Amino acid sequence: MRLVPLLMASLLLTATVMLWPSTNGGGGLLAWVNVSLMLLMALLLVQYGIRLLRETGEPAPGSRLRAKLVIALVTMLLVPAMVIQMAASQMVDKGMDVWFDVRVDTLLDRALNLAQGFYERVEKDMKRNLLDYISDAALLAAVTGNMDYRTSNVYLTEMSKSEGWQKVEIFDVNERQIGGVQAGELTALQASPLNSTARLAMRLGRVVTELVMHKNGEVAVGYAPLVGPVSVLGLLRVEVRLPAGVIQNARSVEADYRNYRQLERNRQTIRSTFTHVMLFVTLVVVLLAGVVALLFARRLTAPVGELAEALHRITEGDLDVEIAHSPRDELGSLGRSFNTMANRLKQNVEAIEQAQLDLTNALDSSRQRQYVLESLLANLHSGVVLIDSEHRVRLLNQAVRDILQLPKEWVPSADFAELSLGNMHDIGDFYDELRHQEEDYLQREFDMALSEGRTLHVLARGARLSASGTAFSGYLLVIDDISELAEAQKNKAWAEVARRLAHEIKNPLTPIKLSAERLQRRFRKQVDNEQVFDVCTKAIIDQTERLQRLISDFSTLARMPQPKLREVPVNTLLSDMYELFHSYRRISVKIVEDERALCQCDPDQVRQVLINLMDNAVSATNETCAIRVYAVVSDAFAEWHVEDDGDGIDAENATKLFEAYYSTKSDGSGLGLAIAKRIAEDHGGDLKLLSFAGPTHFCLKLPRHVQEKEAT
Amino acid sequence: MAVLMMMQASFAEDVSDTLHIQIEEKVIYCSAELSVENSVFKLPMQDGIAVATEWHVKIGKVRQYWLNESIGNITVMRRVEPDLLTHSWLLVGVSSGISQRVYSIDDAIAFLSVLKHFPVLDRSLLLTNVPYRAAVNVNIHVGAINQAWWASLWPTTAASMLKDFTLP
Repeated sequence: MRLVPLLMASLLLTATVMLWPSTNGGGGLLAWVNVSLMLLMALLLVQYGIRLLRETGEPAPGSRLRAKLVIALVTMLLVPAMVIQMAASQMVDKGMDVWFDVRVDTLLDRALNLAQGFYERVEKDMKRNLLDYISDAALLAAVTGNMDYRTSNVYLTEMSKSEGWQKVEIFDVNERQIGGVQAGELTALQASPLNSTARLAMRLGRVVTELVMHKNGEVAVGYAPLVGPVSVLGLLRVEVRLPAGVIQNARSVEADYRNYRQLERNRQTIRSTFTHVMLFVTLVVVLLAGVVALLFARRLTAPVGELAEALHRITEGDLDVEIAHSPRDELGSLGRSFNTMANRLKQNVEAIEQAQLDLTNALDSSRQRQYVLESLLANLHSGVVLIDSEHRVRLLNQAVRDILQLPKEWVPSADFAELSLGNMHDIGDFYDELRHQEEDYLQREFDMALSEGRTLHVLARGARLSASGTAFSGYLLVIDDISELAEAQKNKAWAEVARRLAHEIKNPLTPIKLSAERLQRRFRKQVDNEQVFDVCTKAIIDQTERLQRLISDFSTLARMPQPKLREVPVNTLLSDMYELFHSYRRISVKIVEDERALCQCDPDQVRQVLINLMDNAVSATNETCAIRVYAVVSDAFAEWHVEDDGDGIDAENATKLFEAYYSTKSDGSGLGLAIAKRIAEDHGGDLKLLSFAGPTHFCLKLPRHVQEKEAT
Repeated sequence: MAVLMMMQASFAEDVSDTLHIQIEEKVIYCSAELSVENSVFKLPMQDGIAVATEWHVKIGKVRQYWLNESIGNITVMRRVEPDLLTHSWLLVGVSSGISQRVYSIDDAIAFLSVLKHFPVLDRSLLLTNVPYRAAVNVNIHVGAINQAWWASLWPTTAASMLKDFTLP
C-alpha cells in the first residue's frame, strides 16, 4: 500500500516521457503545460510516497483513510476520463480519415481546376481579341495623332461593344492617354497611370493580361502594344468586369481548397493538439478532482481522525477526552455517542478505582489483621491449632510444633484425624471429645509420652467456632506445656510436706535422742546384757540422727534461701572442688583459660551443687574410673561440667533423676539433685543430664549477668 | 481554426543560413539569406497557404563578462499570399505596407528567404574599433499568423544568424 503513490508516480513519469514534446511536434505551449502538470503531479506523488516510506510510527489518525479516499476518487474520475480520451482520440482519427478522404481531395482539385479554367478562359479570350488590335490602323492613327478625338472615341466605343469590354483606353508611347471609353458611369475623372505590367507589355511588345481586384469586384485587364511598321507606337488597355456570381463561387472554391490543404498539412498537428487539449482537460479535471477529493476527504476524515485520536488517548488511559466538533450527520452522531460512552467509561473507571481503593484498604486492613494474628500466634507460647469443619488443619503456630515436637506431616490442609495418631492420640482424643460434646468449650490436663521417652504434661483447651458470626466454622485448640508448672506445684507440695514433717518430726527427735543417750549412760550398768543394750541404744541414736539429717534436708528443700548473688570467678569454684577432692587421684579439674571470667551467683549454693555432683560421681564409680571437672564460659553463660566414665544411669532412672525423694542409693534421701536443680533454677539457669552413660555428663549452666537471670 | 492559428511550424533542421553586414558611409546594411528547402515555402504556397517570414535584426555591443549592450533592433515581416485562380503571388511587405503581385513562385520564395541590403542602423550610433554583434532571428509562419497574446510567449525560431563586426 505504501508503494502505490510511487507506482503511480512512475506511471505518470513514464507517460510524461512518452508525451514529451518534440522540437517540431504539435501542441506547442499546451504540450509543455501538460508535461509540467504531469511532472507536478508526479512530484507530489513522489513526495507523498517518500513520506509514507519514511513514516516509521503510527500515522496521523485518518491520514490513511484520507489518502485512500483521494486515490479512490481520483481513480474513479481518471479511469472514465482516460477511456473518454481514448475514445475521443479514436473518433478524431476516424473523423480525420473521413474528412481527408481521397474523394474530397479529388473533388476540391476539380473544383479548383474549374475555377482556374474560368480565369484562364477569360485571359485567353482577352489575349486573342487583343491580338486582333495590335496592328489596327485606326488605333495606330489615333495614337500617332492622325485621328481626331471624336472619331477615335467612336471607334473605341464600337470596339467596346463588339468585344464586350467594359473599358477601353489607348495610350501613346509616352504613356499619355489618347482616348478611352467606359461602359456605365465614370469612376474617376483622371485616367489611372500605367502600371509595371502595362509598361512591360509595351516594352516587350507582348499582349499581357492581369487580374485586378477592386472593391466592387474583380476585373480582368489586358494590355496590347500598338505596333507600327517600325516600333511600338502605343498601348491598348481594356478591362472586363468578371461576373460577380462566378467570381464569388471561384473564390469560395479557392478559399475552401486553401483551408482544406492547410488542414491537411496540419493533420498531424491537429491530432496532436487535440490530444494535448484532451490531456490538458483531463489533467485539470484530475487535479481539480484531487483537490476537491482532498477537501472532501479532509472534511469526511476529520471526525474519523478525531475519533481515532480520542480512542487512542482512551487506550492510553486518558479518559478526559471529548470530541468537540460534532457535525449534524452520522459521524456527528458517532462522535456524540463516543462522548457519551467515554463519559460512562470514565464514571465506571472512577467507580472501579474507588472500589479498588476500598478493596485495597480492606485488604491492607485484613493483611494487617492477619499479620497481627500471625505475629501473635508466632510469639504466643501457647500452641494453637485451628481445625476447619472438614477436620483439616487450617492454622498452627510454631509454639505447638515446639511443645508437641510435631512431625513434618503437620502442615495446613492436612487431615487432623490422620495426624493425631501414635504419640498424638491424646490430642486426637481431646479433639474427638470436643467435637462430640454439646458444650462449646473443653479443657483437659493430661500427660503425653513424646519421642525419646520424654513425658509432657499438657493443658489442652478447645473451643467450637460457630459459623454464625463469621464464614468460618471449626475448632480451636490451645495447647500449653505445663510440665514445669506441674513440677513446681509438685515441688511446692513436697516442700509443704517437708516443712510440716520437719515441724512435726524434728521436735520429738531431739528428746528421743537425748533420752536414748541418757538411758545408755544411766542404765547401761543395770542391764543384764550390756551388749544388747548398747546395740539397741546405739541403733536408736543412729536412726534418730539419720532422721534429723533427713529432716534437715527436708527443711533445706522447703526453705531454700534466695541466692545472694555476687561476682565470683569461675575458676574459684573449680579450685574449691580441687581442694575438696584432690585426694582422689582419678579426679581431674581443668581450669578455665580466662582467669578473669566471672559469674554473678551465690558461691555457697553453686559450690553445694558442684559438691553434690562430684559426690554422686565419686560414689557411683570405682577407683579406675576417671572423673573430669571443667568449665566453659561464653559471653552470656558459665557452664560447669562433671563427667565420669562409670557405668552410667539407666534410661528409666534418668527421667526421674531430678525428682525429690528419688535415689538409687540405699542411704540417700533423694533430695540432693532436686535441691541442686532448684538452686540452678533459682539462679535463672538449669541443671541437665547431657548423657546418662559413656560418659555420664552433668552440666550446670548459669547466666553470667543479672539481666540474663531476670530475663530467664 | 483557432487551433490552426496556434500552429507554428519549425524548420530548424532545414536551414543553413548566411548573414553579411555592409558598412557604408552613413548606414549599416545587412544581407541575410535563409537557406531552406523549396518544399518549406513551395508546398504550402502551391496549396494556396500564405507563408510569412519574420526577421528580427538586432545589433549589440559585445561585452565580455556581461550581456551584450543592445544598440538597436528592427523587425521585418514579409508575407506571400498565393492566388490559386490566377497562379500569381502577392508579395506583401507587412512592415512597409508595399505589395507586389508576381507570377513566378521562385520570385515569391526569394522574397521570403532573402533580405538584401536592408538598412538596419545609422552608422553614427556605432564607435570605431569596438566589436559589435549582429543577430538575426527568423521565424516562419505558415498559414495565418497567431495574433494571440500567448503566441509571443512560445516563439518558434526557424533560424538564427550571428555576425561580429567592427567599424573600420
